[in-house]
Amino acid sequence: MTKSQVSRTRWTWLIFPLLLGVLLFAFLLSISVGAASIPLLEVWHLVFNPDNSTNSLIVQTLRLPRAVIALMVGSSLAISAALLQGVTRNPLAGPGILGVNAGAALGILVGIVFFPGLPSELSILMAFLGGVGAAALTFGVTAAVGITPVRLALAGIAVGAMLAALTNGIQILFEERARAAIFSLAGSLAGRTWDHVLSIVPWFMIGVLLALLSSQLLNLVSLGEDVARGLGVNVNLARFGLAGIAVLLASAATSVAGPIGFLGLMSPHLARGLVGVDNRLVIPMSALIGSSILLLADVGARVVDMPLETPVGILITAIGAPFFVYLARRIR
Amino acid sequence: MKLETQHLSLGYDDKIIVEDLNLTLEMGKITTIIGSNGCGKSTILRSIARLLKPKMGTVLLDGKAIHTLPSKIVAQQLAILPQTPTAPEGITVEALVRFGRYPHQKFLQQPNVEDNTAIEQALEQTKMTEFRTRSLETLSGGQRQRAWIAMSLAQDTPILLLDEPTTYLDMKHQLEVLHLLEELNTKTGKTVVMVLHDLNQAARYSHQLIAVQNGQIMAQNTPELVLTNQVMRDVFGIEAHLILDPSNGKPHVIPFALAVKK
Amino acid sequence: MLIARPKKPLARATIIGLLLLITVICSIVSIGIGAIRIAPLEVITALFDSSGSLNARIIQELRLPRILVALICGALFAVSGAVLQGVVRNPLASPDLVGVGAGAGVFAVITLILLPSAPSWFLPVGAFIGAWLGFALVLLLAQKNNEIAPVRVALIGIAVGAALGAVQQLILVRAPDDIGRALTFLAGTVYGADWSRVERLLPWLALLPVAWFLAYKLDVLAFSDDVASGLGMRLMLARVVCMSVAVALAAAAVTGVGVLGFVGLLAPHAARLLVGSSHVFLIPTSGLLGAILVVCADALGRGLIPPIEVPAGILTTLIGAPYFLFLMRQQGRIS
Repeated sequence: MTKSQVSRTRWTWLIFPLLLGVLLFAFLLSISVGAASIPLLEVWHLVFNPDNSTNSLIVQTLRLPRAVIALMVGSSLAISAALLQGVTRNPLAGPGILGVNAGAALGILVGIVFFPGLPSELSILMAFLGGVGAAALTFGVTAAVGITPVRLALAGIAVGAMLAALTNGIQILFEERARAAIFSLAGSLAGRTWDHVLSIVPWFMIGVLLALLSSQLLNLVSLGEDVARGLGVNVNLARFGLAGIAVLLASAATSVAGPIGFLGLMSPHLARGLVGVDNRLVIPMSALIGSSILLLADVGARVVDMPLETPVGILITAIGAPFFVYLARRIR
Repeated sequence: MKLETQHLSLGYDDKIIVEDLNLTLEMGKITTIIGSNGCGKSTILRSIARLLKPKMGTVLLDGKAIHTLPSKIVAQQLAILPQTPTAPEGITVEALVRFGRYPHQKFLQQPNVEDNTAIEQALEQTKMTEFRTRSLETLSGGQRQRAWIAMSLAQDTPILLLDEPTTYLDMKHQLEVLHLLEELNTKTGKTVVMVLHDLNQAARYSHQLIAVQNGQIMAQNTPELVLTNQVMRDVFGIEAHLILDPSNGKPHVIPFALAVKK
Repeated sequence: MLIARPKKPLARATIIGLLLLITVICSIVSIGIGAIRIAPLEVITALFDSSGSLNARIIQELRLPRILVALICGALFAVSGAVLQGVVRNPLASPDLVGVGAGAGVFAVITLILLPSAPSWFLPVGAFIGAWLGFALVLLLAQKNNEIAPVRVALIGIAVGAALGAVQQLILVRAPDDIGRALTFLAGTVYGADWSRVERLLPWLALLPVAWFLAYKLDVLAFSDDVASGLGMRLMLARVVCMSVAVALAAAAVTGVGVLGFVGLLAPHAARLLVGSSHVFLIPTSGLLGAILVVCADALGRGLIPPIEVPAGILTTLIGAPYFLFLMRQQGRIS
């Protein structure tokens, strides 16, 4: 190994603990800030040693599940975007941009409004179907004229706008029944409980594990179709599989937080800036960054209009959309 | 080792480009496919590399239909460098070359001594060792192409296929790439099959030329026997003087007029 | 883009006449739709009924201003889109896709918060300033190597729109409650439109004939820059004037109904199919189609399951987004 490679590796091993530290801080901060402010040290104590105090109750039943949700949603969306950017070889890709989040939200709403007998465990399945449908629509429309990064993004946004309008319409028309889907529609993290955590934990675990295991495959796919195939990769199968994992993660995230755009998109770019292009590093790094951003933005969402809550999705859009413009300007 | 096609028909969607192609490639030699634009030469190369599924017929690698073999097994026998490949922004030369070892690795297996040796060799052969930590887009066109060739070399295959490896390179870098291929062939006996635009370069560096027109093979033989006035007229639509290059005795084409259509 | 078939002026004038008739019919039918249904004939009598009967009051005080706002804003958005598409030579241009709508929205909010006592006519002026800023920002950001690619404008326009929209919401959550209520119109719905809103919009209607007078300039601008200059056009001036008119039209419309998705995109394209691309016919046709579209979307939103109201913006997006995808494919085929 040459010198500069060694230093790159060392730098990488430094950057991971550093980001883990940031994440931990964001996590504790998110538990500490709110209508009742709890000092960080006390938070640290109460997380591990719950007692009978009011603060402990707040931490255990309100703040902790919310922070855990932010952690999972942030990393899911970020990993999902890393996968989609690799599969499409498109820096503008992300679950929000390609319409996957909007599709997932619509799927959940349709399940709840039109199939009320459906057990709630299956609502992730509905989200997944919606997400797959949206992605297929976006790709179908773009593929007909030749896929370029800008066209794919534009088509995805239009598909997303259409599905969001449909979701809004259904929500208004079936207000009563749609209420059960409220957590999947809002783009916020307020009021999430341990039940929400439990509902996505298995999907989250499966998705993250699969994403990590297939990160080398993602590297190969991002070399382009011919090269990957020449190296012995079954490209079509790989693309479907990787996109499937991406949609699964985005659906799980949307089912508890509603569609949050631009967060996924940003994280892999920041991760690549820190650790380079190897997806074996980019994927875990994106997860760290995505969850840190969402945790901090969620703190911001609580602070902006104290004591009222602002949906965190708005805050993320305010940061993420300019970032997207920056990316769109850079590419050809 | 043997590489041949039988009754191969190729095309995209409903358009047939190549029909009933029977071709045997000579092992241990450099073979170049030549022909005018759109004649199907890249299509043929892509299908031999199993990148394009045939409409009919088969490509046989050692007697077995290449499209039914596991893709990884094929990748251990045959490397393909497509036309103008692109890599993710920021990837280093070494990282790129490392991907050439993919066909030899099992799921989640760490690189072993054999992998590292192959990578070192590939870098050395292409004179890219000093650029190993550079990212691809900081290199010149010729260096970049050499990096891609290094990746194909790391694959450690007896057969190497290249689709117009000299496109977009200036003259010096073109010669650099072709020299490298020649050297690989003479030193390691690697079979090289490529598509080239420049007839004189094809004649200079190949043992065999395959002239293609409308998806049909018009001639397959040594450069001296393929580059005739007749072939110039029929395949390329030009009238040309054919002289022998004084430096190496290979045929050299000097076009002087468009051929008159009969 | 679709190549305009040469059509006889008379045929095109007839089409415009027919559309005018359809607009009137749609409006009358639409007035009758709602929680209390009123037959079209009764609507006409009630319009001129000064006796103060229940129907007359419902129509004159509630429904009529609402329909008028829908008509006006639909026409404003549509003509704005027609002018924009001509001046930036981009079939994907539309006020809501190039930052104009979002810029107007943000500045409308800021105007109301900073100058709560300003007269009501000032609101569209503030919106106009914001709309120009939003538009300029998009043009600036979309430009690369002195070249503005149509698809990039749309993409960056949408992203800038999203960012401005988020900023607007962030300002709104911090705003005092009564201002929040005063800004309900920003939600992309005609719900709750009253006579004061009609009055606020009326002066801006004067821009419609102005846009029409610019028709010839727009026809010339459709050529490449060299050709247009060669024909004696002062390019920069013509462009700024045309853009200003388009931006003003959209800004006024935003203060009426908020951003109605895709109306400014849809109407001009449909108009081009009907009367070709000569702006003299294109502009009035677009305006009428935009008015019809919004009135119908509003009527549908009210009539689907009364008393539930589906905002007109949702319905126009449902029609407009698929059409946008279709247009993108057309665009891709050419470039």
